[in-house]
Amino acid sequence: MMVRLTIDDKQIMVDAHMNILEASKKLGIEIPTFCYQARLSELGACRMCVVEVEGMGKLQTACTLAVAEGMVVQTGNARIKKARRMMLEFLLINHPLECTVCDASGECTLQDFAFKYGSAETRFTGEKRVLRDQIISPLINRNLNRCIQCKRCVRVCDEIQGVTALGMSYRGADTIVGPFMDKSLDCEYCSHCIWSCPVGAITSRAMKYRARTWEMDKAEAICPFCSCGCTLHYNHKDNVVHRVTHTEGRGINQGSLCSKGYFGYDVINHPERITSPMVRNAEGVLRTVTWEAALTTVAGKMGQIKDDNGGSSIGGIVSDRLTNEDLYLFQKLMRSVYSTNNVDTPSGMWSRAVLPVLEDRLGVFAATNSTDELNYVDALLIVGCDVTVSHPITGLRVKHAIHRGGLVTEINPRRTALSRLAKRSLTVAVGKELALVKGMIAVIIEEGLYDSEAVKDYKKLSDLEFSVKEKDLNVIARNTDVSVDDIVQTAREFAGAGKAAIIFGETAALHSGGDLLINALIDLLMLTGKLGQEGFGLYPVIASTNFQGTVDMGIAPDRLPGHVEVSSATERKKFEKAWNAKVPKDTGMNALEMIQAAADGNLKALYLAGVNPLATFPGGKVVAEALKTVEFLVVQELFLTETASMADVVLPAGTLAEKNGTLTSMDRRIQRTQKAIDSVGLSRPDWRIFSDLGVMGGENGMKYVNAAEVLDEIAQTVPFYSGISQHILADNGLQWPFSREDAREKFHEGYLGTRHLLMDGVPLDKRIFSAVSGWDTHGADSQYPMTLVFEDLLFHSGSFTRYSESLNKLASEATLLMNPQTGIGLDVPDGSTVRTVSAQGEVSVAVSYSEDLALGVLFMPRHFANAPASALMVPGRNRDAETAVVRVKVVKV
Amino acid sequence: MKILTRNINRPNPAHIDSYLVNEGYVALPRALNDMTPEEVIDEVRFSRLRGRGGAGFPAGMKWDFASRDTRKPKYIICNADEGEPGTFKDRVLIEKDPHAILEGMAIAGYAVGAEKGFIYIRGEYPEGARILERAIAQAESRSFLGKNILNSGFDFSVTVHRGAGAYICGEETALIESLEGKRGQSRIRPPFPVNVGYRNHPTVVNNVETLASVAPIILRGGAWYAGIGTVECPGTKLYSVSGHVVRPGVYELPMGVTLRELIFEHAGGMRDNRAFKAAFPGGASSSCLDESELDVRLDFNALAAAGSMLGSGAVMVLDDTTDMVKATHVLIKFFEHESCGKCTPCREGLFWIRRILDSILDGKGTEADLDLLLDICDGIQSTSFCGLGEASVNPVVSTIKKFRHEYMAHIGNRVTRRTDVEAAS
Repeated sequence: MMVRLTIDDKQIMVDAHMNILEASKKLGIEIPTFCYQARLSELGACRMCVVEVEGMGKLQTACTLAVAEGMVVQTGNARIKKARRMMLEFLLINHPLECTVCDASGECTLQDFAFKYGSAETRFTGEKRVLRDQIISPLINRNLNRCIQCKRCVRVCDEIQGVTALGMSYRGADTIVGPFMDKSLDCEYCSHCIWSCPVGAITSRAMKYRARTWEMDKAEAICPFCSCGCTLHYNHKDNVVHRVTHTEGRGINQGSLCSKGYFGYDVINHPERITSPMVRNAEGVLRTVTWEAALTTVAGKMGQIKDDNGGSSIGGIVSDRLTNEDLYLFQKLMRSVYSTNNVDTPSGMWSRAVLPVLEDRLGVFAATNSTDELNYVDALLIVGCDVTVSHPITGLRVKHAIHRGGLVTEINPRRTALSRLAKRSLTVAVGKELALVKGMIAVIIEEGLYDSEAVKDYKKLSDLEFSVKEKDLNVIARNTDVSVDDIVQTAREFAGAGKAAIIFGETAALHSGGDLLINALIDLLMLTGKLGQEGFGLYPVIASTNFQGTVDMGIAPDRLPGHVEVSSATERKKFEKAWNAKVPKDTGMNALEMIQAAADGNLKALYLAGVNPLATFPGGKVVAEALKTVEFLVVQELFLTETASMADVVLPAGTLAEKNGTLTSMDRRIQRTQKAIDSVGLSRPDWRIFSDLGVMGGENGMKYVNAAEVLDEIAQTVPFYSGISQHILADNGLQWPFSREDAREKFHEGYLGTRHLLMDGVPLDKRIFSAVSGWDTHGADSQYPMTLVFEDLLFHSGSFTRYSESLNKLASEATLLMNPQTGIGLDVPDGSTVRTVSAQGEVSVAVSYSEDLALGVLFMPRHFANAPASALMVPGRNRDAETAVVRVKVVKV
Repeated sequence: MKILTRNINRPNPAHIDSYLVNEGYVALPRALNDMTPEEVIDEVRFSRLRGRGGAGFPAGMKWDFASRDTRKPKYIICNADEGEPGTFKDRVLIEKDPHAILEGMAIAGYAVGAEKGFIYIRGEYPEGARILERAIAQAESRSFLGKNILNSGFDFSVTVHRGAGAYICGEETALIESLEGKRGQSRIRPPFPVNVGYRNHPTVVNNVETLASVAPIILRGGAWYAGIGTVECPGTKLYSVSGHVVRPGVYELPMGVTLRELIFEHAGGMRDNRAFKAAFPGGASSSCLDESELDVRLDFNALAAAGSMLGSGAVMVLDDTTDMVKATHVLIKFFEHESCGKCTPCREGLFWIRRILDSILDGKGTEADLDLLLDICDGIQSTSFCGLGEASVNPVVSTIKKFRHEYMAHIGNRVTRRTDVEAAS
């Protein structure tokens, strides 16, 4: 309903739910406020936004008063001005006037309002209240004396982040904001509190005394740490990034960031960055050389190996953190210059496990729906991942849905930060998820809860029914250690929900029978008709920042850019024409195969761009062997990692802050990221290096002036990127697919592309249930009876973040998490060191008990030097590799 | 006239048997058996009973609002967080006639459609809480509370919740927050508790004295009650008289008794035959009355007309030995201590006022301080979030207005030292 009211003699029609503050904003009238923030609940505490409403004697707070028909409001008369002046005088009584050293100075609301609405003189002559303060956390500073008690930090922590790490204690002028019992902060370090503080009461310790707010320039970029695709602003001065900020309402994160996004920027100007190219000299020592020399060496050696052994003896593995432009040029370099399809990326493991199933069953190559649609789901299944850790901002969407009453069920081998908030958290051992999902399907069929309209032209419904009825619900319940009631309720809720979706992650997909589980999840969605609409769908989630970009840009041994198959002569011809070069026709080797081939002496040259296989690839020994044996190793990196220090040539690359380009988020959103600072030292953007090598390799088609030119070529060659340019992406990202015309013509109207796939339903030829057989996708192994799950940490997303001093303050060592009952069974006490042994190798690590884990399941972060995951991960050609879930035994030391 | 205090002088007055002697639990079955909920509300409306917690809101109207809200469950909360300095009348009812409160709550529950009641009692009344709990057990054992009360099909149970020592929790929305386990701070109104109260459900919050008045109204009829006291403020009122009188205590008198009558006819006059100087007629947060106002009637309307308020009926009487500045200082220290800290003006303003009063008592004040004080008071009064801040400055404003010369004496007299102030308070 709309109502008409008058504010400062101007009439306006607004929605009846709006408050006076928002209505005034629409008229361009600023009403000052400290405690109001649109995303938070109303508080009405600061009293700064008082207005006069005709017929109401007392002044009213504009933030808490809803508009009403015929209301007449004054926002700036003498009475209001006096009240505002008074409020500022009150707040300044106890606020220390230390703006000279305060980090908020220059963007402090109190400072701004005091200047604009305050009095030039103070009538308070006494001593200010001084509160004792102490350090509450390694990264977040609290200054109680500056606090104006607006409670924004407390509310944001509770209402947005769902953590409630902050609260108010004591009373009156002694009121303080702080952690429970004023102990140290136990939280997710999401930075919401810093962001929400209107003064300098909560600030980042990482940025303390580094720069004044007004001295820094800002560049809008995309966060490099996961595939959520958050927009952030690098704040920099003198070519150093001093902090990260975010803007309310901007980007898919809408003004939120997580610990990595907010604090992880210190990797950019890290003192250990490689600042110049290096080539190993005759004595076997890496020596600094000029770019000219380094590139000549690479081009020469690659050309020689290609001539001597053929392109198939050259391989390249590229990081999934790089931009689309970097990725596109990398594969173009490998294919058109080095004549090889040996192209892969670490998340290729994931892509090969998941995408064939999605393609086969649904005809899609990505998450079907947008992450922000999760805000409004009524039911959600989260299978085999902790989305609040791997994708913290997507996790916020789930928290928002829960806040709205959405019924979220977790099926995971451990309890997570969501468990406390979710409707139910089913802690299920790895491999047993399938039985649970089949149990749900059985209930839905048995009770007739499926969408009969949706399934009417589906084939094999009876097969599905038969496959799930093989086992009784009671048996499933006993085997999975979940109650029958939980299975039944979850099934009913999911089938009955208006909007329902499924998220699954690495633990679910990256083990031997993971494809069966994905198929069962798709069956569940098909059966309940939860595909092809807003709020429905399937979300495969992996943290790797631009994994979708690697898929789209052809970073695969069997696919060219645009998901087309290398084996297709027509497609090859298309690219050969565009590139004016030959494209090799044989499917190449994937990353694991390349490593094996290198170790066997069959791969002669390996080009690693931003990947550190020694830390993150399965089979520590074989990787070391491969890197030692390979004739020519090129490593393009930010840091002299374990792997880089073995290279023949080291090429210094740049971070996202140092280049322009685009990234594609987990929900197919192509977004522009902008250069903030000049390249550190002599480093160069990755695409530039690939381009130069291409030209030196004799391909003039590899010559580009800037990243925008590369994007233009992508827009020509990748059909569903058709029509985009940096200009078009300036305001919003675009979700593929979209037509060239829509991209060109509608981008300035806020066109966002395709919000969800399968709008016309599942393709007709794919309307078949898979009716998977089997009940356990992991099974037992008497020699290695435990299941070790490698987890992402909230504060680390890979070996890259290990270089962040700030994040290392929050977590810097691996421990082996286990259920106390498991520990007692193995006779390994909490804190003791154990040997964790897999078929591949072993690591020694300290045990940490956690009630959150299922029995027989262990958790360990994958990227800390004290317990290198690569030593345990079992290599293999494809599905037989164990990278996310590894069978181990635990041996007491 | 004894209505509220009819039972307090019986032997073992809190026991259910003593209560039953004098028409105890007669009104409840009458309401349940012979009256519809609407008729009960009508009766209370006819009585024109006004809430005794301080605001004087018509009780029947409040019940009516709650009964019209269709959302279930609904709640009845008895506000027994008697925290206003100088107020101790609810304590008498709680300790001497708890069943009158319980009967009133059950009737209220029936009237509005609530099945659950809470008594939020201040933490400093441990004995009162025990007495109420015993009384609840007794009432349950006789089927005056609990499931299917007196076979009527109506369920109503009562839980006693003890406060943790915050004055603000006497404010109904802060009380509800506290009852929900949150920090005791006022909520934004509207919506009012009658629609969005405990756990965001319709909730009637009534004062102890209000609820204790209900059973007699049901028994004798609203018209009978409306005939007592004044037309606008019917019924009897419990006045808590404290300060420099011969016999401080709780007096039940028809509404509208004058201050003079209360002090000189009932409370035995001024202590040591000293002269009357001033009285705060409605507790610490009311404006003071001086000698010229002794004939003001102590009811909601007459006191409002005199620029003060009846509040909870806590009459604090001061004689001519009192230093009004020191008295004000004591009261402001109380409010500064009890400000919940939520809103800026109350939190910071009271801190500032106290500092200025400190300095005046320290002999360092100036006449300009008085204008500043009034300006700060105006700022607090016009912008505070809740009634605490709004009313807290009344003693300052009224004493500056009526006893300015005493402030001037301190300002001109630099002998008084801070240490004396602390010794005196």
